[in-house]
Amino acid sequence: MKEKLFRTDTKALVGSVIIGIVFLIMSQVTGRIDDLLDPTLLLLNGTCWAFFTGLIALMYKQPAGIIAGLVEAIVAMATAYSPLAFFFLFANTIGSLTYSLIARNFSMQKLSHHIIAQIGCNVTGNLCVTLGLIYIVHLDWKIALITSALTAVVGIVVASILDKAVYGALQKSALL
Amino acid sequence: MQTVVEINIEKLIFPNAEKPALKNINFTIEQGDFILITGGVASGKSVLLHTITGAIPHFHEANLTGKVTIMGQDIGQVRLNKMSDYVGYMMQEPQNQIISLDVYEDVAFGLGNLGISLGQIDESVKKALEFVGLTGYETRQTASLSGGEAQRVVLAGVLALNAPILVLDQPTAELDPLGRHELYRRLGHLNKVQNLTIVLVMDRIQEVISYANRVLYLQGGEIVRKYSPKQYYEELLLKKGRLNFPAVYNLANSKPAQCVAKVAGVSYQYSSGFRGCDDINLEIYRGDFISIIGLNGSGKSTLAKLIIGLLKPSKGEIEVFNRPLHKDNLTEVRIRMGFLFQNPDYQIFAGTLEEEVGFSLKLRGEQAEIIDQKVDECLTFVGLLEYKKMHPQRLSRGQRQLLALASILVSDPDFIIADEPTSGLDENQGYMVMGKLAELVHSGKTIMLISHDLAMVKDYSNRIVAMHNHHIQLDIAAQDLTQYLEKLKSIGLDFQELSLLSEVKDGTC
Amino acid sequence: MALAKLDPRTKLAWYILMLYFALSLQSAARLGFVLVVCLLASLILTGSLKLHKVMVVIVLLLGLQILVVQLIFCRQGVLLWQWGILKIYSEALPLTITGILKSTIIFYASMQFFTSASAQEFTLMLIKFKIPYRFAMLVGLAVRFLPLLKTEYVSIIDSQRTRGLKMENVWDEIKAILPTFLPFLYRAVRRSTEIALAMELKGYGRSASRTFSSDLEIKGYDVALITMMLLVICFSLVYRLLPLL
Repeated sequence: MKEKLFRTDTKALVGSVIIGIVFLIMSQVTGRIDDLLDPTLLLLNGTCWAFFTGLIALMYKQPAGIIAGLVEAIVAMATAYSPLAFFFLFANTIGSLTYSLIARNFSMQKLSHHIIAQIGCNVTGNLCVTLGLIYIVHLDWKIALITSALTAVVGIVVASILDKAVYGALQKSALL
Repeated sequence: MQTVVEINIEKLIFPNAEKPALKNINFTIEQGDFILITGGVASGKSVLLHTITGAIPHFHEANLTGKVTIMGQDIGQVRLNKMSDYVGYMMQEPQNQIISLDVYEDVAFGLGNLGISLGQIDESVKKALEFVGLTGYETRQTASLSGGEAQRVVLAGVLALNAPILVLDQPTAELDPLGRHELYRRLGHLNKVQNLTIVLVMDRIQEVISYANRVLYLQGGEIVRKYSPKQYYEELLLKKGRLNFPAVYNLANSKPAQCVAKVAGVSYQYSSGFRGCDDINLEIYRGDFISIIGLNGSGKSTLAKLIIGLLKPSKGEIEVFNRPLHKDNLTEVRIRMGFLFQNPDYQIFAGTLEEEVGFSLKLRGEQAEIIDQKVDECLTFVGLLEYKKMHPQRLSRGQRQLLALASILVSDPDFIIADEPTSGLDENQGYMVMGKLAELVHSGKTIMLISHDLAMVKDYSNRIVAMHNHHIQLDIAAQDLTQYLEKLKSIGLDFQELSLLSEVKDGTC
Repeated sequence: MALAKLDPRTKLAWYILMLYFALSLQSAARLGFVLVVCLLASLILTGSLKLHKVMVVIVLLLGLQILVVQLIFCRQGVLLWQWGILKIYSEALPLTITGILKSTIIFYASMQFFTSASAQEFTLMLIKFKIPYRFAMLVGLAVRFLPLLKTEYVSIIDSQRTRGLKMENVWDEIKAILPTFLPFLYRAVRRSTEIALAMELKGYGRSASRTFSSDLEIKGYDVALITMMLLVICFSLVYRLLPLL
């Protein structure tokens, strides 16, 4: 079964906001743990981002994925959650759209489907963050690219596994 | 009388479900009816309501064989966002039905969607707020409302739309006795004076039955009995006589026994400045079945959280199992305690029921065989063994409540704190759970019950502690309850209301 | 208060202007000037900088984050100090300062914008931008449910702690993510379904438009301010792009 790209019913719209808030809170939780472990790579935070971007796009399609991403990015900007918060606007929007555009071609029943969708999402999303690392944090572009690539690799692997498991559990739960 | 709803459902089945959620449902709702729908867990009560609101088939996917008509219109043909012309709908959690940030905007929400003029909206909002007794609340932030006030705002928002039928799904589950009484009184008024048709789903209906004219009892998705309120009560009294556990008034005997928890001069203030508890002194003894009662916001839950160490007292000291509660011994103390939260969804996370129940044992490093055995025992007790491999979120609200209870009992705790353990259960199941808790007390365990269900409190506790304005107002033996009825009534806890039961029995209601 | 008189669209134009400067300027002096202007605007329009006081700590933390990254990764300028693979170069500090200034401007401007109007005003602004009301009203929904969900997450953590879940160190916290996140997610999905149903049954989306209890009316001074700010951006872009032509 191929995935649809759009859903604009009230359930999807409200879901995008509510799950967008869950996304935001979990980003804060993982961000705090990252700060304690390693404030430079943000591996947990990056994985959390990739996981939610994928999950929301699967649950409620578009534009819900974009709306949830905007909720997360706007609150991150207004609370100085990260120096790169402004670039989250683009990372979340482009990452979510890319995920949906790839996911619509697959049944999303296999882990490989999730990995392919996450590759698109992580590459585009992390490219936006790379721009932030260059323009805001003033990192050398090579270093910015390496750190983003590392975050993306971890994000692709872990978020794909988590997305498959959690989305599967949600389908079994009959809550969707 | 005019027929407003006609329900003929041969079968209603959800995708991937083995059994139909509803079958052979045939009844009509007449204008001016006040119908109570009750039944056990997963009996299909809420599903039946959703067929009247149009949520099935428009919002929840389901295969419906049959037809539901409302004011002569096939519900399948009416768009969900046009159903507000026919039905107003209220559900359990008011916070999920309040959309706006202030009271005025929230009551005006539905009216705004109809696209009517501002003048008309203003008039309707004011009228609705006046009816629910919230005139002057227009600019109040919805987040600052108490549970009862929030439910009244929801009612105002629904009434403002002027639909001829009001459908309510467990609207009082989160309210204290005063809040419940207020809402029932208003519903009764709407039904009698304004001839509004009311369909109300409740687990336990004894408090509202005097307002109703029909009772439907569902079991396994079917209407198994149709009662008049009087017939229902007669049958309930019979059942209650059979099920009732003789209360053990053991306060006097228990005093020399081991003190399980000692709260000495404890106060707690939240960081927001809100006072949780003030100068609480309480001793709980082994074998106590102590009930903490009080209106919402009186400090009951704060006290429970203090005893289990989720909150640290701002002043005073707490000892549990003769050890001062301290960060370093919390894990150890909690192994001997069980805390059942009011909302079972706060803890359910696993993919199957057995995984969920076995979680605490796994955390404690128990062996797999022991976990399996204990999980089976507990699931059997709560009647959920057949669903062992099922995803917990597929269970009904009442079943999830039973699952949460099983998850606590599996650790065999010495001291259980249960916050509304019977919410979401019908009378039979409620008494069954309370009976089990009483059994535990007899085997030497200690129970601290937080409840708004005064009937249960009266029937099962040996001690009743009433809280009011963050203080302990009364700490009495349950056997002395009759001496304190007036005092309890003055703080909004009316045990005399329970005598309604005998009035119905006598046919005076 | 002067701020309340301004149309949200004027505030949006100001926000865009600040973001533009934060991203396009490279010198610490110019960025510092923009930050001062940004703060002065708050002072003039709200009469105090009280709101920004609490943010000093946040900005310091933000700065620390950038400083750590620069100390580890910066390879520009002269090598000042070395300890194993850790090398500190002379450019690390100036780059940190501009980094801090840029993120501080973005943060202050975001704070200014998002706290300058009510959720209802933002909704009305989106409607003026021809966004359908079914989407525009989600702003209010986010503002309403953010604190509720935060409280709920704390309750879920409490609930799992009483079942024996430890939260004593970082490793415990990582292990606790799934048992606390999953009930949170399930509960949020259940909640959002209920909210959506309540909204639909109150006629949400019944027709293309709805009645709001207030409206936005753009004033002459708003138009003048927006035009001025857009002109500043245009002139600046032309000034930057001209040498390239």
